Amino acid sequence: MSVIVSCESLNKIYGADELQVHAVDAVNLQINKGDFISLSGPSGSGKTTLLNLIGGLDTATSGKITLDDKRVDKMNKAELADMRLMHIGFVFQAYNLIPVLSAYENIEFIMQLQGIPAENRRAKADAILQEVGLSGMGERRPAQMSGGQQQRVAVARAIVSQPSIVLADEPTANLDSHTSNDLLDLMKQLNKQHNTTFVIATHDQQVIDFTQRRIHMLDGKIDRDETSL
Amino acid sequence: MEKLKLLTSLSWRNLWRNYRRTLITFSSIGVGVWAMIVLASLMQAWAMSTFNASINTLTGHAQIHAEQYLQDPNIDYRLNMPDEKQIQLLNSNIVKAWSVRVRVPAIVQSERENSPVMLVGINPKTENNLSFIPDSISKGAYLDDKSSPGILLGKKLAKRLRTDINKRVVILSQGPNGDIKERGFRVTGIYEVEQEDTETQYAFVSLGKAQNMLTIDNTISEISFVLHDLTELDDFINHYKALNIQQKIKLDIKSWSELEPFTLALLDMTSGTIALLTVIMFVLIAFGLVNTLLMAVYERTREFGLLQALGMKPSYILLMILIESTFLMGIGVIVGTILSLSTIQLFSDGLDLGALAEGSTMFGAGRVMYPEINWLQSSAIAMFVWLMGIVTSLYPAWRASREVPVETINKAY
Repeated sequence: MSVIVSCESLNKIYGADELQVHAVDAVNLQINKGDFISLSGPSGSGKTTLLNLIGGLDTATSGKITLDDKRVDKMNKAELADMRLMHIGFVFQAYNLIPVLSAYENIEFIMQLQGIPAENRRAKADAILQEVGLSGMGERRPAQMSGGQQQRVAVARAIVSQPSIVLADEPTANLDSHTSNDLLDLMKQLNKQHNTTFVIATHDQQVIDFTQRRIHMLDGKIDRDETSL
Repeated sequence: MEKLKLLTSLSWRNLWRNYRRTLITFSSIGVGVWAMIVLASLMQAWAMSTFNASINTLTGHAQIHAEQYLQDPNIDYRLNMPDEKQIQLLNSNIVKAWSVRVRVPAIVQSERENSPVMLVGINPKTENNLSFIPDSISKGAYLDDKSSPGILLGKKLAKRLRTDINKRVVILSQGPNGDIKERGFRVTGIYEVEQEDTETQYAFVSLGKAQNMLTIDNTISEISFVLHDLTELDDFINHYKALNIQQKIKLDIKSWSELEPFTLALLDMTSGTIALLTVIMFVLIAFGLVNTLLMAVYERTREFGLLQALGMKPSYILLMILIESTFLMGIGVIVGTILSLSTIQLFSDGLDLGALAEGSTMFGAGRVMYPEINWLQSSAIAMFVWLMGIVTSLYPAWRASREVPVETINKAY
């Protein structure tokens, strides 16, 4: 299995002096292509921080992060933006979609930034909307869709340009259990079909049980890293 | 190009997310631009009114006098009537009208009162298209020819002298040898103008009668002329001066700006005031604009974080806000400009300021303003506000582009 993400002695410290908080503490981690991972732990355990560091949304205090053989920790703002655009898909807990764009346009947004021609964009967006079970809803704006539907569009947007990895931070936190199950099924299905790597930060046991590899964090450190067969 | 299209589309839609606020901002920009352009047009109309009144009173576009006359408007400083070459120049195509005059300080005396006055001997026919006199007779009649026996008095002067049409007044002035010359004239016409001071200042008689009374033969005090196109004035004056040098005649040729420095100062001041008002109005608009954009930026910090998280570069976010501001300013400016031009067009037949104009007549301006659409000035104001608006929005745009994704995204949780 090829390694997509590699973290070595990764540290993230917030604050200074006696107010220092070690959000991520000497983490070593390797994520392989096609992994379906849950990153769990109590609040403040460092799971979101680790996700942000891998995604280049935050910068590490020390340590090394590699994504697709590129050093994320050495990149400047513009390079990080490019890296996120070309290699990473994001799904957030809330406020996931651009409110002034329709579902189609939200999905096409990434492709537009990537410079994909208009004629290819709409076909891809159509196909992915069908795949996430929202065909016929492409013209709707986020406010005209339910929370579950919005998250499906967010997942569609995250995978449409076939990124190396999809980082999802509490994607089911605002959804009921039925909708959560549907979303997890969808992500699992996409993981299998496209061999897309998913890392899901969560403290929802239902999500944890659903994943193949379960990383548990405590006080900024990886406490357990288990893989089910 | 695709990215610009995306940013333009996003900016346009973002503008209408809070349509009430956007409409209020459009309105404030529009009203500001409307006020700037209309005010500038009115000020210019006022300045032009002052200029025209000054030119029409007697000044013309330029005057020719004997040397020293302007320092001491005395009967001793006179000119000969223009010779053939001078007449040829004055009759050229670029000259709209010209006339010769005798102008001396005098006393006008009725049977009851007397008053100092400037006695002006005119050729009634050549004053057409040159000065206000032919069109200002409100009572009686204008002078027939250059030997008409009557006198024209201003309405206010006639009232002061307690005289009227067909009554006689006596004019006293100094002759070339220092002796007092006097002559009786019958009042044949009363003139009325908006600038009441003019009505007390001048009394008009025919050129022949003035020359005869003052015993100055066929000499004159001044030649006044107006051109079809004022921009040719300097060239014309230079030609005239060259002719004088050639003829070895020493004459004093002065343009309106030298004869009426107050009017020139007023025109300069008007341009300066328009520029100052434009800046002041813009500063007021800028506060509203920055406030609106900052509010929009603060409300959307999480969204900017999301856009950056999805791979949008900070420079694109800056550009997106600038495009938003371009739309916001552009629509406000266009609406304001159209409204202002319509307003100016509405009053182009004359805006009677009535009692408000009492002060302005002191500066020589009339009661009725004739605002005109000045495309260059209107475009300059509109473009200034538009461009400065975009420059002003750089700060909110920069703020938006500086949002740190991780901090703003986390605000959503």
